[in-house]
Amino acid sequence: MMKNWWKILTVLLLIFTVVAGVLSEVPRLAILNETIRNLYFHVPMWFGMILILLISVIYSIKYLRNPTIKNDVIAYEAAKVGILFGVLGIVTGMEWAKFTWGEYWSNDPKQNASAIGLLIYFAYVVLRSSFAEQQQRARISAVYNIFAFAALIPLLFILPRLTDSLHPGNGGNPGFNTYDLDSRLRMVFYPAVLGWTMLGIWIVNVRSRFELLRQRLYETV
Amino acid sequence: MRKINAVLLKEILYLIQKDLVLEWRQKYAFNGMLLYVGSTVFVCYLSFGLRQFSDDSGPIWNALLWIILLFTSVNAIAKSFMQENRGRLLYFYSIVSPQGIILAKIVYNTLLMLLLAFICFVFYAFVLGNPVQDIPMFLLSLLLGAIGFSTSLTMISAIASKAANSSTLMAILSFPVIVPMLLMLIKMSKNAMDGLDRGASLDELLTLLAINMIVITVSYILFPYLWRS
Amino acid sequence: MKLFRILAICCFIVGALAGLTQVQAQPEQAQVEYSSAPAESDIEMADTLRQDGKIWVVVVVLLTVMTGLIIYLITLDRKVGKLEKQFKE
Repeated sequence: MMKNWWKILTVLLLIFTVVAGVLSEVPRLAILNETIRNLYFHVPMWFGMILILLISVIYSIKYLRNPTIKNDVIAYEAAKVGILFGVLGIVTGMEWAKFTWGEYWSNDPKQNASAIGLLIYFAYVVLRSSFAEQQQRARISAVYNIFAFAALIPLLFILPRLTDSLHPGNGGNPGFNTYDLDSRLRMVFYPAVLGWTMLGIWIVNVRSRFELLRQRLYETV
Repeated sequence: MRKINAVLLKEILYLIQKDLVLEWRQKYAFNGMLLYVGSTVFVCYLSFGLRQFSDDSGPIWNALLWIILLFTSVNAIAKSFMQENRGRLLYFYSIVSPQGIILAKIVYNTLLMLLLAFICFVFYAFVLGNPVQDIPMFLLSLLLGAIGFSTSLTMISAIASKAANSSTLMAILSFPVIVPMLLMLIKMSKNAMDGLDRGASLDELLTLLAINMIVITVSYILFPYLWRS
Repeated sequence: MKLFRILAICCFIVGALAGLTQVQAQPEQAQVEYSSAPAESDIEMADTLRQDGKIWVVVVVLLTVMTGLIIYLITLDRKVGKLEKQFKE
């Protein structure tokens, strides 16, 4: 029970996010209307994706330092969950964009950057599947994972600020800036980011435990 | 420490020399690349018919040049690790350090790309007309582009050469990684084309340098792990 | 060799910083006007998703997230089921 406190915390945070996200007071903005509440459900997907991909890269580095199956499995599963969050982020973003900006895809630098980021990680999955031997697959995909993440950073953090964007905050912070994120929004936004990210970590945890068990089973058979 | 660095430098010089000699002996590969550039440019000329330039075809001219350069560099650099046969790789493995190999490959590919990019630009400007107003700045963006493409593609080709179907993989792996660089380059060269004030492209220039720096250091650190397998 | 590596990492950091600082150095060049939407708010569209202050968009987004996670859960469930079957055999 004591070991699982963070799972309980995740559930509580998510319940709080959904309830407070739908019921709380939000600032009245012109085009956004009530859709400002998507801030609690769309934006945390991106924060979750970046953080989970960061976990993946950290485990790739750990794999190169200390090649164990566990590090490799966690890196791979985290990358896959990162892709899930990225796809959800793109789909929800498109739905939101359709009713505020008028188009599903409006050639916004952040939309493009996120699509390219997903392409990188799809390439990672394809690269992994093209090796038969386990050790070689683990090492080379770890190398690509780190390399791609290093190439992704300028894409996500520098490019959108250099070009005009429909997203808020293209001069300051990547996700938001003070002028449209007042304290009422922050109250729910930070727990939302934490909750969704922890949900992702939970999924990674379950999946990698499952994968490790599977591999152990295959070894004994 | 200094002694080790001197050894590394010597290794790099030796490896570059070896690559140049090899290229010189098998001239067909380089001639093939030249012909590739030439025929692509000519196909573009025929299919677009862009001989006369109106004011609004500048972006197309620019984007087309960079796309040609991108494909040329992917093709030219893809073979940098695949062409080496197994015996030679084993030989290198026993005598030189992996850092020496990756740095030498990067430098050699950069030289190759610089030459190809310059020839491509001259030929392209000759066939399709030359709307560039600030030529030194444009050449600078070509230089940065050649360095950037060759650094990131060298590492990618090293990764791809380990896999089974390496030529497809090369394209899949490299395009997303190269896109930020390509966008910066297109913007910068567009500024040079329109003859804007040079300070306007300073952001792009610094970002490109930063990306190049990141890519080189990351490949320097990561290549030894790749080399071992 | 160690020194070289440290130097490389320093280079990396300096490069990243250079990229960041020059980005931050330029002020908010383009304050995009959010309020500059065309005044077509009077035009009622026959579109349920736009009614009630667009709250339904939020519902759709939440539903998307839910379906995504549930589909993921189902695939995981199937994988576990397959493994269980293999385990029995």
